[in-house]
Amino acid sequence: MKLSRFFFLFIFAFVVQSTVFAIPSISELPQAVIPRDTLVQAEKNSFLPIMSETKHNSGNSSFYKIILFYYNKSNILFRIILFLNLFFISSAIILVFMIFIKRVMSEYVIYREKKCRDRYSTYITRWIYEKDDNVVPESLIKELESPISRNVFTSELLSLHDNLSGESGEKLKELFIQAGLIKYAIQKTRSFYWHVKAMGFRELALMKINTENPLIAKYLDAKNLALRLEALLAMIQLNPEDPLIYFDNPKIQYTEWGQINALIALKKIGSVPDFGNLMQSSNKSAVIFALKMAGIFKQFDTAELVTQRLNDRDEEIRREAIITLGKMELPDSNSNLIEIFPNESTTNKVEILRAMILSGDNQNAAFFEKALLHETNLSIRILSAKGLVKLGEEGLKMLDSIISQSDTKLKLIIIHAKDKRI
Amino acid sequence: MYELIRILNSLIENGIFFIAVIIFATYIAMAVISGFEMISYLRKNSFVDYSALLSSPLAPSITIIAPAYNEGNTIIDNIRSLLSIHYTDFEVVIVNDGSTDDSLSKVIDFYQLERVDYLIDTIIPTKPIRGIYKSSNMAYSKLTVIDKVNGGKADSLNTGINFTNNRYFATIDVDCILDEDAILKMIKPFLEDNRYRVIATGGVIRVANSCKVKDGKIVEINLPDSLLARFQVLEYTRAFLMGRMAWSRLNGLLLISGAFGIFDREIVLKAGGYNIHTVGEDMELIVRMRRYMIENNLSYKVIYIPDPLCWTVVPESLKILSRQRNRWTRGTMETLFNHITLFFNPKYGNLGMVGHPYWFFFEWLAPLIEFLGICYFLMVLVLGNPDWPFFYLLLGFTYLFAVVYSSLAVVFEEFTFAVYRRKRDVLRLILITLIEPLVFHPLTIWFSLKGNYHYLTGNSSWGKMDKKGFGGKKKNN
Repeated sequence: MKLSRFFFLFIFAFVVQSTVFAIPSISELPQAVIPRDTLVQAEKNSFLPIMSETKHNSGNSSFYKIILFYYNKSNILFRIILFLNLFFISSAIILVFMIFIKRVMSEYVIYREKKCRDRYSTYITRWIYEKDDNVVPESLIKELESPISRNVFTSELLSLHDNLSGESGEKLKELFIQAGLIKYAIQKTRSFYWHVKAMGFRELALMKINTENPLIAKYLDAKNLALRLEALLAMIQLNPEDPLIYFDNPKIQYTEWGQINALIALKKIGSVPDFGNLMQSSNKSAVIFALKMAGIFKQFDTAELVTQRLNDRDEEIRREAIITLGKMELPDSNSNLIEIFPNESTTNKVEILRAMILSGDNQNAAFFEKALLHETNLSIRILSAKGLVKLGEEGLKMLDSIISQSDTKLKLIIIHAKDKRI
Repeated sequence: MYELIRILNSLIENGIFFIAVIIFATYIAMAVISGFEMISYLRKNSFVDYSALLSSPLAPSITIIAPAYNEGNTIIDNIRSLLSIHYTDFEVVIVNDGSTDDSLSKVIDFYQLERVDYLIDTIIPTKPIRGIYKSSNMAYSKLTVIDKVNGGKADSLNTGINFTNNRYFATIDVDCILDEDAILKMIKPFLEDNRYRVIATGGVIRVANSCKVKDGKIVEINLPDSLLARFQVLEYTRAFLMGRMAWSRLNGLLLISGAFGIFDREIVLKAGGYNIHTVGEDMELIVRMRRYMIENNLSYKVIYIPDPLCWTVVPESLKILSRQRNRWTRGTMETLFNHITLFFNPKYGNLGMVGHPYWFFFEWLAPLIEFLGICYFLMVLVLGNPDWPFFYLLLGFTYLFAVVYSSLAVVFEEFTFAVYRRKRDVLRLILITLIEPLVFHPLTIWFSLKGNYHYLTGNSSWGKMDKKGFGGKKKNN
């Protein structure tokens, strides 16, 4: 049972029990009512007569009669608290029952799922490998009307489809359609609930069914970030020829999480698109994404466009361009990096040095030496020294000559940089 | 004179009653908000493929900082546990805070450590570092051990923060066991929304007493055998699933447990790092980070993850529990009074108008008011003539509210993560809800009072904690 259902059940139980307790209260009303002037007087004397005054004398009677006596003589506060106590007792009992009912139901669902999974898994495998002209039996279609069976069948089908391509993948798509699951997937995309809608997007995307693309595209700038991400991932998978078509949308800001998932989706579709065009987008997050992807997929053709971004007004874009050039390990770009170095922030300076270390160009030696001797930030100085170490013999010679005439801190920096274990 | 006593009497009775009503109403509101937040989290989480992050070159690097003081009996297993977590790019930094036992030599021997000449940029001042060690074995290349002069937990954490250059760092008590996916789940909030900056995330701390541990991992979850530890299971479940979840929704979290949290290093540094002059350094840092963000008009969030990610051994003796709660009370007081400028200060938004006052009244003041109520009742008992029916009714109300609230926490647990698989464990937990208000709650009130007394008398010691390690190994610190 899902938590949302539990809440509704709890509210329902509350209403039911409130009604149940209200009935005796109402029925006792004629004798329970205290004369209005007495009550007003009591409230005037002490707003909440809690513990310090004895007000009632119950006499010798049964427990029920004592309770009734106090109830009849009590003021409104007493009655409210009494009502709440009864409410709490019944709530506690209901909650305990709910826990145990949930346990039993969970066990039943697990049992049903296991039973279904074994059967469906065998059926789907046979569908792929054994038959040529397959037809899904009516009995199965009827069975899949049950949500538990349908969920298990769909998840088995999707997980298999995720690992298969080509003819087998097509066969699974055929099974998905023949078993009527497409109808449910489309229904999901029209659901009121975002999580059901998102599940529909996912199912259609995995099965490469693009009839609902216009509807999915509407959710690319949804307020709900999870729904937006599912829509984006679906659109990448449903447009393998041009997966980036929806990226250049100024309304959409791609989060780091979205970028991580988009990378996976791009890898799944097999062909890597050209990220050059996206680098010229007015959407900052799209540019950053394109720069990251160009670095990961080593798209050397875009190197010029990446270099252009070193002069971007936005510091984050410049940083990403620096990192991308580092990943491409292009010695040609070092002169551009050296040029922008003096005016960059400390963070970007660190990234420039990292990028230049990766390219391992001996012509950088003088630059590293200058940064080591004249920069004040410790990370920059250590990286500069590491840059010299990376250059090999020439760099080490320079460090040896520097260390002989350096102060203690510089010596420590050089020792740190030369230690390969660090 | 009689009239004066009568007015005083009325003030106390009505005052206590009103505060109780507000507390109960707040708890109910928190439970409702937590419920909605939990549903939202679970729905969102059902779409998340954490393996995407596990294999992604875009996943951020993270440093796990674990301060250690006299952990000789368990440190080898604990480090192994930390090294085995699932994440693509991480390093583990153990900060040996001048241990007087054989912790350091054991770690050096087992993990084949060698001293390295590492130069640390001391951005936050700390006690001197005696040595930094890296392993000669590539299998342990992610491990760094920093040996420093004893300066306390906050000082050790500051040393770790100085050491790392990564954008994010996690702090963990070295005697905790992390779920394998803990970092994956905790780092995700930092990446998933660019409308605001996430400055810290915290996770649920679960009780590991009586759980079976193998190779630094929890392999079987059991309800503790000790009654005192069981009370704490209920208390933790209530606090984490129903309290902090609501505060996360309201962006009002004042505390990320020192046992496990992930932080944005840049903001931590700008806020000045951990305060070494408080025993509640975890809470104090979050308050200071939030203040920094508000004072600089930066949009931010502190997020809380309800998954069971971190397991710890809780005290099983009254003496140790007393010290722990005493310290928590002093830490709370230190933070609240050091940042008293926040109290109902609209400039600080939720932090000033809700978060700080809530902690002030309900976390710090509530035990004192409860104690005052008990004293007042005793006075009435001796001097006056209590209205017994009303007394029983109120007592029943308070008790039943506590039982229902705790039962609701068990329901939350059952409908979400259901970590206790055995039916008898759940049954025991339900039974605990019946006795906890009568046995454990009064104890916590008493420990809190002692904490208040020690704060006022200037006692600022951490308190010796003799905890049992996993599998019953005794640990002293």
